Amino acid sequence: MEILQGLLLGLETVITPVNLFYCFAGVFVGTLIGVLPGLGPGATLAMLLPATFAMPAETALIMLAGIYYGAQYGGSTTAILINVPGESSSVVTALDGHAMARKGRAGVALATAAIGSFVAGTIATVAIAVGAPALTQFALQFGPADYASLMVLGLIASVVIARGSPIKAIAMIVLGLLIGMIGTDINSGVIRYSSAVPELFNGVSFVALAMGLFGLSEIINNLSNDPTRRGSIATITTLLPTREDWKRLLAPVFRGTFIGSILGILPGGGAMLSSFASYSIEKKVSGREAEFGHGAIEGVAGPEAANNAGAQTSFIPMLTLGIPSTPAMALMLGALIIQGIQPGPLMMTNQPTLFWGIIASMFIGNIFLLILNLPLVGMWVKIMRIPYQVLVPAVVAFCAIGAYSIGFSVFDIYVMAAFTVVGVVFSKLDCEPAPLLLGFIIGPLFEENVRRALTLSRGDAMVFLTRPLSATMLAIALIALVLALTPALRRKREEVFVDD
Amino acid sequence: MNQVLLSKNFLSGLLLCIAGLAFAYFGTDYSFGTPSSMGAGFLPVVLGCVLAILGGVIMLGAVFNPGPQVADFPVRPMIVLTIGVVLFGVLLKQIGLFPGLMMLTVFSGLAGQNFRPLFSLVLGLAIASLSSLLFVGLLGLNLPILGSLFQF
Repeated sequence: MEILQGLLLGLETVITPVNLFYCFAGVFVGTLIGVLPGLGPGATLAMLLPATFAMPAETALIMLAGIYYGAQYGGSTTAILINVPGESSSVVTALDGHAMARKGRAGVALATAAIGSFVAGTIATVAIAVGAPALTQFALQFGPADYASLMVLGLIASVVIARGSPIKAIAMIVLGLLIGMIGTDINSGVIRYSSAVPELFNGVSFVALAMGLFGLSEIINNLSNDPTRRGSIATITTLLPTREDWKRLLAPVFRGTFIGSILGILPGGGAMLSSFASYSIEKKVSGREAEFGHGAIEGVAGPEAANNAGAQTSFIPMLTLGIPSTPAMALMLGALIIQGIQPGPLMMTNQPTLFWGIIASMFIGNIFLLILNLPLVGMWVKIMRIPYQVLVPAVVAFCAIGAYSIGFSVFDIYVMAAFTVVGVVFSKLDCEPAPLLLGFIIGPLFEENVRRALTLSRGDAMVFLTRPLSATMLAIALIALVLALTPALRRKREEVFVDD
Repeated sequence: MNQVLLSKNFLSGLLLCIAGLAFAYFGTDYSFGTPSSMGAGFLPVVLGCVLAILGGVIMLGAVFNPGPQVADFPVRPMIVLTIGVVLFGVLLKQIGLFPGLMMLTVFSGLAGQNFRPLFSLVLGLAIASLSSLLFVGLLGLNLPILGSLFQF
């Protein structure tokens, strides 16, 4: 009953002209950026964050959430039509989706993706509405030691699930934690690492950091990779799946939704892992293994449902525990903090309209997306033709103005430039910038909880091991870490990300 | 030897190690405290050391197994675009938003592979006009479209 009341409250929040407009604007811009290759959701969210500062918290988050799951939709459109996945989560969609397009069934593939995403989005919204309050109840028992351990678990898990070297990723997290400590220490008022730079007293601007790390450094990496080499765009004839198609796509959609909803909650999981997992499962379950890679509709329906469900349920840990599991969620968390709201177990009771508004907006947003993506797909095809030479300066200009507008200070432009270099250098050294951002966002919260836990225990570090909750979480983190470093498992893990 | 020194693993380990040492060293300026009442320097020093050790382990690993070498480093795009962005910041108040964005567009063009001056100028005009209209006109951003340099 409580959940129903909550959802009704959420709907009331969303169905105001202003919020409906920004929900639409969010999914529209999200799809737009998803369609443009070379800009991920992280970059998009970072770029558009400054634009949301002046809005009320509900409106800002509704729009940002829309951008995030809208980008999942847009990414699959380019994956199907030109075989260039707009987002990492639509990499698998390109396999069978583009194969369908080459057979003249581009429209059906697009419709399958849209239907799969819509069904998954709707079911995942319900999953969030049920799961988030349950997790909130659980999280209310957490003490500072448990919280600190939970953050360790979350950070470690995001390393284990992500691709690449675990030790590098952990080092990047620690670097992020340290950068998060620049500025005034809230406990003692001491200014750390920046006593000569008044602009840094409030810490490194998180938006400038994210725009440099993701936005501009992605642009620079793409400039040398020449993404202008794009194939021809497949033409769309009919959008309607046949009766046979419907029969084949329904079960994968529901299986994908289930997989995505579960994996999305895991730290570091989110959309990408969900789509990969769903693809390999459909391949085994469908009984048409030979067709996969040559235009099997199951290979589009399952992963598309899974990535959308995963994208949405990754909101659960962010909203209830205040711990982001992916860079996109870290940006979302940052947006909330800028609005003066600390997400966590108290958010549901203290900010009910915000909490339920975000959830309900996902339902509305999915309806908008269905309309935007099926009847209006022709518009997106036109946008795909925008040359990269036009796009780059526009994005750079947008970032520069955005960085300035954070605090009307030129200094943030320099911060952005500095982190652009950091982002380019580290990504060329195979160190993903995403863990750095996670560490940076969690840093202050982590320090506060570690300090508080140790103060309560009078300096006895055993408190992390004697509290059952905390000990369990540290044990899981340790096991996960050991497994990730085991050579045999590492090879398996790499295989999951390679399309077989 | 070069194979080790120029490997991605060695270089990333080196950078991370230096960063860790720097954070730990400068962190000693602040009171360390005790675990039960940590000073401002406690976690920065501890985490700085952790980072330095992790970086060291990555470097050491590279000595035994160098792994992939650094390749295709986007030197030119990185330097040109970063200079453009910094210059935009330095000159923003003097020249204003419109000329600033024109300049930034030219730098973006220069950062790419085949620079076409006329194309960049026309594009710059379009981006500068649209942004001035959107950010200053509609959103009321407090920035002069033409800076103090152009005011008489």
